[in-house]
Order: sequence, then structure tokens, then C-alpha cells
Amino acid sequence: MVGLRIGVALVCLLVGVADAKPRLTTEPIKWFDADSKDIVEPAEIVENQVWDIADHTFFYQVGKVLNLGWTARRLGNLLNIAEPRQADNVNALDEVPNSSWYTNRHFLHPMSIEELQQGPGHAVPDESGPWEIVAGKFEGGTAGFTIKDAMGQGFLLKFDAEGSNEMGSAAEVIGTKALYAAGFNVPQNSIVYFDPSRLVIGPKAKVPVPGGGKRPMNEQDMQGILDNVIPQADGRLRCVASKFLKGESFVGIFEYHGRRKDDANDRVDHQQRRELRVIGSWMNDADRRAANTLDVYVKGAQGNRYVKHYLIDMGSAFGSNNLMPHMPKYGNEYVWDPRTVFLSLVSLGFYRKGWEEPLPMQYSEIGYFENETFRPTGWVPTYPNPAFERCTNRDAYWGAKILMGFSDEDIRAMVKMGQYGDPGATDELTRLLIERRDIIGRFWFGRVNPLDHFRIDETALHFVDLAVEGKLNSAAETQYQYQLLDAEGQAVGAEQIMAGETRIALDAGLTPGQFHGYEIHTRRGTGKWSKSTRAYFHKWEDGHYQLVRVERQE
Amino acid sequence: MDYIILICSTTCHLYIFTPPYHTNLFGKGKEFNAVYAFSAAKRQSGSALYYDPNVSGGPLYFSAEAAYLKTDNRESTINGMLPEDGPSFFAIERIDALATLGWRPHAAALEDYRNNIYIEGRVGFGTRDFSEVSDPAAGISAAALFPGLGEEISLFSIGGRLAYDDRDYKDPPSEISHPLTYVFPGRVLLFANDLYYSFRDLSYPERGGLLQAEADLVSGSEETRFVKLGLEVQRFFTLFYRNRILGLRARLEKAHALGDDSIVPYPDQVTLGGSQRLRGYERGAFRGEGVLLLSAEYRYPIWDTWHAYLFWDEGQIFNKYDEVEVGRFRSSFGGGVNLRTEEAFLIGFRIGHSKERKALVGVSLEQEF
Repeated sequence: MVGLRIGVALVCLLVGVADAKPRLTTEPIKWFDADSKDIVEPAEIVENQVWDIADHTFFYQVGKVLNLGWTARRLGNLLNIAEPRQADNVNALDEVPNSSWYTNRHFLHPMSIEELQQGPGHAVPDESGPWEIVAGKFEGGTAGFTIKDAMGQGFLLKFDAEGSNEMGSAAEVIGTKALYAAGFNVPQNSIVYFDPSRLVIGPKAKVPVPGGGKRPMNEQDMQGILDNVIPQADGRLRCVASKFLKGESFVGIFEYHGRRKDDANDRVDHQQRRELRVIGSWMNDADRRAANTLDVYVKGAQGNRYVKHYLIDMGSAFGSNNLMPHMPKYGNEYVWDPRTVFLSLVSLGFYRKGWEEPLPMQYSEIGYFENETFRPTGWVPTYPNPAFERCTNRDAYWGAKILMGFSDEDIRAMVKMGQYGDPGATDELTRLLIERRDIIGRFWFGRVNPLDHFRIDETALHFVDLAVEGKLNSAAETQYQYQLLDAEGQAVGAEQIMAGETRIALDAGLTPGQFHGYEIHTRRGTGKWSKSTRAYFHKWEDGHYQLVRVERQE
Repeated sequence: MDYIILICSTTCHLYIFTPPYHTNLFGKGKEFNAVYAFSAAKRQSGSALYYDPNVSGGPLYFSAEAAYLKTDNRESTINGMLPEDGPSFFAIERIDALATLGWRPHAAALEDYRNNIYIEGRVGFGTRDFSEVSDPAAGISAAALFPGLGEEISLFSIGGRLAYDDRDYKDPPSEISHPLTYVFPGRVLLFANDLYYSFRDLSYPERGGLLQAEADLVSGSEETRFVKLGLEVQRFFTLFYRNRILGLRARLEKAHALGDDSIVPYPDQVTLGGSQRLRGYERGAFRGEGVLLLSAEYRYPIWDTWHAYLFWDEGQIFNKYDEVEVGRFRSSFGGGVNLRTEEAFLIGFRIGHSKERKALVGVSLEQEF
């Protein structure tokens, strides 16, 4: 027993078990992370994709276990004496402040249908003149060109693969709109139809030659790429036009762990950034990894130069894996997943994976995307992503509420931007995304009490029950149990139950100049009471209150 | 790209390999593979293969292969040499060359997707220098037990093979629920003749089988004159769930000496044991003029193109057919893991049990069944 106690104490010491007292202050809520201070241009990070995969699949996993702090916390989680480490960039209201990584958009500031469809912008090459090919795109999954239009704007044109017409391009554009509305920085990606005669080979266009080096591009090279593109009935070609991001320079990718050492603004380890831990499962964004990110050294409005962080390449989202449909396993396990390899080995073939028997694929434009085998906690990208791995219940709840913020109409509007030729494909992807949104919402709202949008006025504390708002549960079947808390987080009042309203009348007898709070639990029908959500406020004087903190039980 | 692998065997000899080198010669799908292993000046082996899958663009195929082996049985069982046993200590240096011309109806793009018949003829040339190196006086009466010992033999062979192979073949449907480019690991589809053909994964067949008969007439110096016959049947069944497979195999091989004074040289006798046949025994643990092998193997996937298996082998060596008896079968069982890509076998690890070896651990670089 002595050994166990020492062990537990050591674990507590290593992981720093949280003090139960709430940290209450009347300081303004941090809604902006000042990470755009002027810095010297950082060096470009060039990624070796092979190493990246090997590192995250093998070495990083081993290193993680060898990290005493990580291992102790995991042990603490298992012993139920330590909570998972929460994200570092969360404010007192359990929200993510705006930063060079993320901007709160649709969930906190609802966007109109037009704004959702616009996304980061609907930029297309100017059609008043020829499009000069600056370079061919030979790397990556899709072939294409980089061009300069008559206005001097640069675009990357990416084509769909034969047999998967519309698939990659639609995924790229729909994914762009969705990620932008969710709050991420993304490039302007748009579907474009154009006459191939508009393309002219520029003097600087080069193609790689076997054995290294490059030579000038010729008509045959251009035609070689175009020959793989299936033209529309009118002879035009369909592609994604991705407008070049504006900035002083591109400084490479960002990793999903660690920080840029030459960027003083980069103060939070990337794996501890909440916004990098979520969203992927809804979009089946299985290829979300460092290679599909881009850091741009930009100039701010005040002349400050800093690094802005973008997500790029959404062509591997939903059912698309760029050139071909996603494998059924994508999203269900890593490309090489030691967990399932081991299980399969020792089970002598009796362990069946839900995705082993692929479902029919109705629309080749969508690719392979289904919800039958989808499990919110089981979803993984193609190989371990350190940020995704650290997703806690609270992070996932935060991501889920962003998704639940998309109405059916919002989702349909964004899917329409993929411009599927077959309306059935639009309907089907819309249906799948609505269904998956609800699966995710129902799951995480079941783990974390989904009371949100807290506000306080002269008489009451108000909140929104996101499960009711999202039509996952009805108001009629819902009850709330609440209890007054003091500044120490200790219950000081009797438990009370209410139904049919989401407003807690404030007790007139609360002491001015002090912090108070309410702990609320939710119950649906005859089910169990949920975990708690606590909202703390400061009473300045009668009728003058300030919301200061929201805490959600993990 | 050429590269070097260093391997330390159980006796810590260092081996240097140049792994198989695949090419698309002349840009026309011709192949050249080569492998070479060096342990010491007295212990080397190498092989090379040239393969033209479509002679003149038609259904004929041609291969030319050569193999060289120089080894002994001191601290080694390479190529079936008996482990060193007291004073008996043997060495062998052999060269084999073989040219094969064959025909099958389904060639070119459909070959890997269709069931096929193979008819082939082959001619070969070889040399054997099989010698007793140490203390022959104290050795066993070698000539009787080891035909060809002390001789330098040159031999020629002529023969052929007839096979029907529908391993992993299924009738091509005219409609599928996934588009043409849809790819499962090892399950590439090919659209031809308005039908969707599935790639036949010969390393992991889920159905069908192989029926094969071979015969070679071998004649050479030092009374070497025999006919070698082989018959093999393989059959695969899907069990309780997709790609959980039961594989069955029967193989009969027999060398018939032609004439009273003729011999089947020791290096040309058939063997049991090793990575492919009677896997709970050392390679070449049993040797004779005839072999009968029965195998059952349960296979199940553990990753995209990797699988694990449990095997049960029964086999016996005989010199005359009437020596074959149920009671003379030797058993072995065990399991293993085969790692491969969609196109090539990488490496296999196995552990086998038999009366002689409780747990024989082995590595293989090929998959015969």
C-alpha cells in the first residue's frame, strides 16, 4: 500500500493534478491571442514526407511513451486521479481566442448562406486574356498547372482523375468552405470550367527530367497533362482554381507538434492547440497532416509581419482521396495501425473490422463515404496526428458544437459549391454530412453537458441547450438541475430542478463584490443526470453582473 | 537502386546480399532479377533470371535462369546439405542453367486477372561437384548413402510442365458497386471486354486452385540418368468470413533412375524440411528419390497485404512407391506471418514444431504454397 501511495503521489506530482478551485477574475475575457507581433522572417520548413510518416507512425509513438510526463498522465487517467491535459489556448469561457491560426466564425457569429458559400472568397482566374502556364504540377496526388492570368493573379489549377470525375475538385471546394466557416485559415478554392485553348505555355514553365534537372515545358508536356482530363460535353475542362495566398513569403509547413523555434509568436505547442485537435472526423479529413498545411509570412494592417497558418489540400476529404476514392479503412484506422495488426494477429481471424465488407458506392463523384462504420471516438486520420491524439472530451465537444452550428440548409449550401453535375450527388453528400453531424453531436453532447452561449443580465443567467437547439433532444423531455456555488466552487444552495426553460433567476440575496456560480446538470427523459457545466459570474451590485468563467466537467 | 544487407546467422556468419533487381527491360516488360549471397569464399550462392512474358507480343513466354551454389555442411544447412555429423563433412559446388519456353491462352494485360493453362517445355544444363572434404576413411560408407559423392557430374535435362491455375479467379461481373479506379489492397480491378476482372493475388488466393504436372528427363556423366516427375494440387476455400482462408496442398515428387547402374545424384534428390515443405524440420532434413507432402493451412489477414497462418504439414520420403505408408508420415505444425506488398513477397517469419524440434524459428523469402 505504501508503494501504491508513493506511486500515486508521484503521478500527481508529475502531471500536476489540478486545483479544484476555479480561477476567477473580472479581467476581460481573452478573445484575441496577440500572436501577430512583428518578427523577422523565419526560415522555410521543408518537409520530408517519408520521414514524416515514419516519424509519426513509429518514432513519435515510442518517444511519447518515453516521455515521463505523458506516461504518468496516462497512468493517472487510468487510475482516475488525473484528468487529461486540456488544450493550452482556451479562454475562461472554454472557447478558443482568435489568433493567426483561428478565427471564431459561424458558431459564435452566424454566417449567412451567402457568406458560407463565399467562404474565404470565390476567386477565379480572369477570363479577359490567356492563362500563362508558369509551371506544371507534377508532385502530389493530382496533376495540374500553376498559371498567371491577364491580371497577373497566380492560381494553381488541379484536375480530377479519370474515373473519379468531380470527386477531388468538389471535395476541395466543399472542404474549403466548411473549414473556413469553422474558423480556419484556408486558401480561396473555386470550381472553374475553362476552354483549354486559353492555356499558353509561359517562358518560365519547366518540367522535371529523369535523373534530375528541368527543361522548358513544351506543347507535348501540356497535352500530356490535359489528356488525362475528361472534358465536359461542351469541350471545357473542370478544375479547382486555388488562388495563391498573399504574403511576403511562404515559410513551409507547420507540424502538428512542437513549435516553430524561429517564431516568437508561436508560444503554444501545436499539439496543445484545441483548434488543431478537432473537425477532421466530420469531414473524414483523413489526410490532415503537416504536408497539407502552409505557413505564410504576412504583413498585417499595422505593418507588422508575422506567420499566418493555413490548412490546404482538402481534396482528401469526405469520400475522396484525391485521385481515387478513400479506402474503406481510411478514418477507421491508420494506414499501418499496430493496434489492429496486433488484434488481428492474436484473434486468429475472428476479429472483424466494421469496414472490411465495403458498402456499395452510389456516386463516384463523392467517393467512398459512409456513416455505417463511423464511430466518433474511433475516427483517425491516415497516420497518428499528435494534436488529434490529444483531443479531450471538452475539445471534442467544442468541435461538435461548431458542427452542430451548421444547419441542414447551411450544409446543403456549402455542398452546392462543389458543383456536382448530378443533383443526386449533392443530395447524398448533404444527407451524409447532416447524418454524420448528428452522430457526432449526439455522441459528444452525451459526454459533455451541452449547455452553451451563457449570458447574464440583470435578473437571470441564460444558456442555450445545444442538443435541443440542434434537434437532437426535445425541450419537453429535458430537465435541468442547478445549484448555487460560492467563489470556491462549493455548493451553497439547495439543488433545484427546472424544465421547459433555460434561464436561472438570480438570487437577490447574493453578496455584491463577490464571485458566484451555478452548477447545472441535464437529464433527458428518465436517463441519468449529465456531467456538470458550471457558469461563474461576479456580482458588482444589484442588477449588474459579469459572466467570468464557464467550466465543463471532462 | 542497389543496396547491401548484412545478416548475422545463428553462427554469426555475415552474409551480404544484393537483393532481387527488377527491371522493365527495353521498356517492354522484360524482367531481369538477380540475387547473390556471400558468406565466405567457400560459401556463396547466386541466381539470375531473365523473363520475357510475351515473346513477339504473343501468348508465348520465355525464361532463362542460372543458379550457382558453393557450400558445405560445416555449421550450415544451406540448400539441404546435412548438418555436420561427426567426421562426415561434405562440400558441393553446383551450377544449374535452365531455359523455358511456354504458352498460355491469356497473356498480356489480362494475364494477372484470368484463369490460365500453362504448357511449357524446358531444357537445362548443370554440373555437380560433390565431395567429402575431411577424413573420408572415418566417414560413413559414402557412396551408397550419397550417390554421386566424389564425382564431377555434368548433366542435361529436358522436360516440361502442364498446369491449370485458377487460384483466386472469380467470374468477372459486368457491373460492380464501385467505380473502375476503386482499389482495395491487392484487389485491383481491370475493365476489359465489358467485364470487371479482379486481380488474382497468388500470394493470398481466396478460391480456386492449382493443378500441375511436371516431368524432366535428366542425363549426364557418371551414370546419371533419371526421370523426375512431379504432381501438385492446391485448393483454396473461404471459411466463415471473407478472406479467412483454408488452403490445402498435396505434392508428389519422384525421381526414377533409368537403368540398374544409373544414379540420382545426392544433390538432385528430393527433400523435406525447411521453409516450404514440412516446416517443423530443418531444411533438407529428409532426402530421397520420392516425396509425398500434404499440407493444410489456415490463413487470415492482419493488415492490408500481410497475413498470418497456422499450418499442419504431413510428409514422407520414399525411394519406391510401395514404401509409402500412412504410418511413415512425419508431422509438423506451427504458424507464421507473411509480409508482402501487392506485387512482391517481402519476408516471412514462422515457427514450427515437430518431433525433432520443439520450436523451429525460420525466415523465408519466398512462398511456394
